[in-house]
Amino acid sequence: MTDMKLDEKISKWLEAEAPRQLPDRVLGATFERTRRSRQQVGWRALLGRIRLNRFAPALSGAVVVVLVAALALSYYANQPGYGGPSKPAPLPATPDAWSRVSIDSRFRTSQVDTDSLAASPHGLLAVLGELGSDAFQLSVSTDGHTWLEVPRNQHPPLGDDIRLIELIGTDGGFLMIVSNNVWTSPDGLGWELLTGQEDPDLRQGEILAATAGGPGFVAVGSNNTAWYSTDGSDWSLADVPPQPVGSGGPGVSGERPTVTMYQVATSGDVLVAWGDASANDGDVEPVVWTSRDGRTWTKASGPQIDSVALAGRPGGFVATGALIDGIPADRANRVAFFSSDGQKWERATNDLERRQPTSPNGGLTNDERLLSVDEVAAASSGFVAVGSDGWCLIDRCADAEAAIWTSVDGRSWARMVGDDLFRVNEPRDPNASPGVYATSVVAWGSRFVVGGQYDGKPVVWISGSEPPGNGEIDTATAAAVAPTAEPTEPHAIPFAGNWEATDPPPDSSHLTMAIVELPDGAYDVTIRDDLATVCGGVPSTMTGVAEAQEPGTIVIQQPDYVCDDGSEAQALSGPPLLEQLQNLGFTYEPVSDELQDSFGLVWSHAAMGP
Amino acid sequence: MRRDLVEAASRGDHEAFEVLATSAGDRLYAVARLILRTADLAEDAVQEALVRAWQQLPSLRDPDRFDAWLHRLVVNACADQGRQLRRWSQQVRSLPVGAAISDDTASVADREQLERGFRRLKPEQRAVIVLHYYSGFSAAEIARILGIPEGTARSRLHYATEQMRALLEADARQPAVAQNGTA
Repeated sequence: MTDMKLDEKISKWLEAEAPRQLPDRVLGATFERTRRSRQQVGWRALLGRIRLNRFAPALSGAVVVVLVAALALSYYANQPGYGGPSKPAPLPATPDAWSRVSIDSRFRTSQVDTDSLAASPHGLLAVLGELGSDAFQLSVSTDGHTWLEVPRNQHPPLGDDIRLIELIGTDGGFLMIVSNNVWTSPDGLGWELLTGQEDPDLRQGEILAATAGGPGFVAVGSNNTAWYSTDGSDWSLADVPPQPVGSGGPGVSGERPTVTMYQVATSGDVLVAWGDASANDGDVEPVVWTSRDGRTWTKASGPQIDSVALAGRPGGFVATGALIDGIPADRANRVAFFSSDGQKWERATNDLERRQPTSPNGGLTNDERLLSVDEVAAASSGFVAVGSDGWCLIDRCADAEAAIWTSVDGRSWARMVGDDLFRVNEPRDPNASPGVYATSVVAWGSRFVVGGQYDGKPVVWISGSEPPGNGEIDTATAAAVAPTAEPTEPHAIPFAGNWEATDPPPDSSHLTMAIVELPDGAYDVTIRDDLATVCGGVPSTMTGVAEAQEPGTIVIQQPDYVCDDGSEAQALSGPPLLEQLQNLGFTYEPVSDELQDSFGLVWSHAAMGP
Repeated sequence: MRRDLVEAASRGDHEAFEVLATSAGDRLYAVARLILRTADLAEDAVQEALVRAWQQLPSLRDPDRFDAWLHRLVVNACADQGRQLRRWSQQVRSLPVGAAISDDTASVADREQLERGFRRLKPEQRAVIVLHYYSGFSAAEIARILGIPEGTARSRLHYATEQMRALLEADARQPAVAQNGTA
């Protein structure tokens, strides 16, 4: 059967099988629920209209973070791998080498996980994500046990796609790349924009992976593209191998396959990048590049594996993935390869997981539990790979457990025998959150930190240096090393004060606004309109408490609105007025020193109060 | 116009949301039912997806991504529905063959083969098959919808299609008597 005939057959069959109409009762029941249901705060809607680099001047001069430096330095001086005792920690190959720590999240759903991690001598940085939405949270910790959410007005906009958030730990702190905008922070609490999409080189493709290495930093991504930078503030395009011309493989018809690089790692002065070349006909082939300087990449031949995770340390690289050997990738054996130079790869002596076919033709069954290997990290003691044992329908099964493999040399692997630290044993409601799983891992000195989810909550598992009390946090120690973070300096973004604006015609009314800062960091807002159409032309007063959201933005979730003559304000069209006013936001424009509200009205400083 | 509706709905305009949901409902239902293979579960999945859409609309940064985002929500809702069934594969039922088919080119035998092949796919493979061949999304769009790397989406689509081919060809090689179940 030709490809075209098969495509046509499937398309026609699905079209014929698809029901034509959603029953009206479903929409009716849906709207009954949504009419009673509140929407979440809408700061992201505001963000859509804001250029990120507007915040740079405000942030660079605004962020004030107080770290108890002496205590922190004292603490880190005792951390293995960061100037402390040179005795390396052993590879954490048994559960008793690990402790599990929950991270508080602001999300109220029961499906939040730790998506991404970075480590620096100053501590850990984590991106938490809520499954099913595009919302993320940034949290920091100096010891891995006590975590602090970075207020949303202190960190960069995190976008809505985890693939476009790259975290790099550096000796001086952290580098974060979000949608090709590059930010830096000494501690994860205060951030400064270094550069972004105004740089033409950073518009050539999407950055999907980055690491410290080469001349300073290197990044790889979509569109057959790699970048390098000495300091993170100025990025240049690297020379990369040309896109392959399809012949017999990807791009049978001569079409150039799309090259996308998903992983990059460093070992000594050698860099390896890993991705694939894929063509519209569905063929996918791995692509491996190596480099000595991050400026010029050459093609190497790598093993045929998919869904690759990559890590390096002095002495070599490890790549884990699903072996492409003619059976579906999800069904394939999970394997590891080791390379000392990025050029020649040897298969580990044992596979991470060898699966047995359960149907006569090697196909899949729908209730089969599948396994993933999501990330791998390297430290002086060896390698740790993490994943999830228990994939069901598209997502993890309710009884999924975190899977952790360790290897001293990258050539021989062992899966750690799980215990209650890594799975939930008691009977569970099948509607509950998807069990336990690990998604990320990072080396922190000689220790490893694994991110994931435990029964719906974001967690990290940390190896070594078990805190006293068998996992209990020593509060005195935690307090000593926890960052003493002060919120953003209140006057850094000068919302407080008197403002004025003019309504557009036909109203053309004069509006005044008084913003008073409250002790808790929120703002009391009073807006007066001298001619409110919604009040039949009499003056009106709107009040509310605004809270800081993203950098430079405050939002009143639900303002109160009264006509000064006591009459009831009526919306001229659309939903009720109060509903329309929900999530009223004000964004500070540092260049013009003005505020813009979520209706587009521009507010200037006023000499007189309202 | 549609962007205006999305922006209005994200500001709390329920009427705008009703217009959007009504116009998308049929397509979402078709996607859910093709993946889940049962009407009750698909109806629940669509309802859950639309309720989440309403609640989370203010968090949608780019109104132009509304359709793709809705598909993501419905695929996730399908996953949630699937998780509620301990033995998912044993409880789904086939749509009645030929119920809505008027295409002369597809024989009853073809449809039965396709149904059997499709039912043997892993659910996430079904999702990419439906999103690609029914909804018309490219692999890159599927990657964004499912939150997976583009290469993984292409790979998943490729393997799912190849598995359908293998199953269909294996089925075709079976003696007719076995396929009909008569002796």
